[in-house]
Amino acid sequence: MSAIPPSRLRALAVMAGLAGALVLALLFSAAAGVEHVDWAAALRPDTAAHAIIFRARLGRALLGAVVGASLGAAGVAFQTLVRNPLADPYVLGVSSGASVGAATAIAFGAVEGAPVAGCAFAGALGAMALVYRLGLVRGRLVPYVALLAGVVLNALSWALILTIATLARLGTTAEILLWLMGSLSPPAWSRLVLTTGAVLIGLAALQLLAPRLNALVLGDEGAHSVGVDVPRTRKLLLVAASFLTAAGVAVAGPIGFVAIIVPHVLRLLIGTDHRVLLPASALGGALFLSLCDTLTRLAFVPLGAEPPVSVLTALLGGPFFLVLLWQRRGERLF
Amino acid sequence: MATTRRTVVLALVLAAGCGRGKPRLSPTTDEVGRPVTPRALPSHRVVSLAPNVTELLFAIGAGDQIVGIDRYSDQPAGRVEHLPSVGSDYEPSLEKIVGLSPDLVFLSRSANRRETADALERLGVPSFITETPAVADMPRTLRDLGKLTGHDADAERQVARLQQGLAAVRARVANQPRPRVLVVVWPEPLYVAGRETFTHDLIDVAGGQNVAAEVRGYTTFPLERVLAVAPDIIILPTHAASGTGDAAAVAYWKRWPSLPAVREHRVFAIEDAIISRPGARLVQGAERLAALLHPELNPRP
Repeated sequence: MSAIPPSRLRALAVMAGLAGALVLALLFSAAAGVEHVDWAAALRPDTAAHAIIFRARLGRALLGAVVGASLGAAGVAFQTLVRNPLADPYVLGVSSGASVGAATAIAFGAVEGAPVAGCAFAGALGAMALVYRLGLVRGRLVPYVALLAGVVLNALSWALILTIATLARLGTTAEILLWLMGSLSPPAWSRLVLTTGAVLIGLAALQLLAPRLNALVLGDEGAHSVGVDVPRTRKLLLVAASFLTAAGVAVAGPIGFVAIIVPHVLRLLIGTDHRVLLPASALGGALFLSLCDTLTRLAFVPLGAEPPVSVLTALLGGPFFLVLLWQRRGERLF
Repeated sequence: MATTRRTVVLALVLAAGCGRGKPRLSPTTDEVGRPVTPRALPSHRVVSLAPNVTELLFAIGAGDQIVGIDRYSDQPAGRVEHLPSVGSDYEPSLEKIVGLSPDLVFLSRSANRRETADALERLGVPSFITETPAVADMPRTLRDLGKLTGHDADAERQVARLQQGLAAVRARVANQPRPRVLVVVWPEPLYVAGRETFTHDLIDVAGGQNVAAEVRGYTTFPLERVLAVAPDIIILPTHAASGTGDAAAVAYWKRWPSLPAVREHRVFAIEDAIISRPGARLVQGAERLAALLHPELNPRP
């Protein structure tokens, strides 16, 4: 009987801890809010208390968890794909594509969430396809070419968004800006189910690629020597991670910081084995974003307004990450 | 000798010019306290850079003096379409404005940037910034526009028309119960009209209570508070007078059936300009709101 290696035990403990914390965070989100709610009344449907606890609070926290999971795992995938610790799912143009889609929908008078999310998703996939094709050199996906294409696409998209905002009717500019700041709203159940489904598909695809991601860390030669088809792996990785990002960005807008910070924190805690790093980052992203979003809701009491959730992800995640960076200075970070 | 004679002639011409009763152009201050010296007073060629100012200029009979407008000026319909556009409120084309050689350019503090006025100043084009944060400030803006364009009496008539119109609406709803109203300017993230907005003022005139009065201006608001206070009526200001997208905006709220406004089908889209713009149609906006808030007073056949 072989003993489980201590690194594996540690990873399992971290994952169990994250899963437990996520459950607690969701319960906290259901319990915490600016209104006092009668829990007995909440059990009867069609009461205000029911709508507040199960939809305004829990529905929004669940959407936050799903979006956070997509960003956390996609962050890991993109950082390994382009071998750069600064990469996030937005650097390859996915969120810019989503933003162009959303801005177009808003400019054409969409006020409801579903058409905006649909157009954002289409825009994200369009950007992904473009970056993928431009990144192919003689049939191989070259990370730095894709990166360059993504960066230029970001600039181009921003110009397009500003053009749309300039040509739009009065008031529409502000609405486009609201979308660009990123936020979570209580979703219709159908949208939550669709988003969850899409994110689970993306997570499963990345999980299947996890052993090959481990090989990619060795570099192209190393990966090839352990029998990994590097060009094919890169293509699959880009598609899976972009799809995952698109699903999250479409419903929440581009929320910053989660995809950078969560993978790095978990790499520091459990190492770079992608078989555990990917699910742990998904759980960590889910926990982090749903918690930040609950605090966003509560911030209304002292501030008189709900700040964009990106404010809290940066304010809370930034110092935490810097402390970790200081404590682990001298160790290999990536 | 010849030079001296020419100087004398010039002096006489100038004196004659003054003598014909042209008012001396002493600086006045605009509504944000900047000194302004129009090229001519009353100003016969004016540019309006804000939709509400355009509406008000037409209302006081100064529409024919407008030589250029911003691209968002859409009212009065049928009168503004032929006017040259000088671009957006935020970033108008300065060279177009200079090219129109206006006596005075009107801006609005909420729609335009101070930088635009400063840049015009450097180009030698005088500009007047209006500031109309509340319905109570409307008379001042109307009178200033009237004075500067030479339509004092018309401006006074518009002030009276506005005050009497609003008072009439107020009187009509005076003895009715006041429904609780929420004005949603954007659903995701939820933005509402709080106190110190035109919409808030008009809801009060139209006999309603704004349930978001605890917040100031147009701002975010917790959805769970909306669910808890359960407004009787939800007003959705939309951009298009044509009403495109109104049905979708109303249908969006069906997902919250615990709200009385949703259950009783009292979620209404309304053209935002008539309830949020410091323009010439506020009485119309108040009447429309009163009809929605108090259907008992306006029985429809």
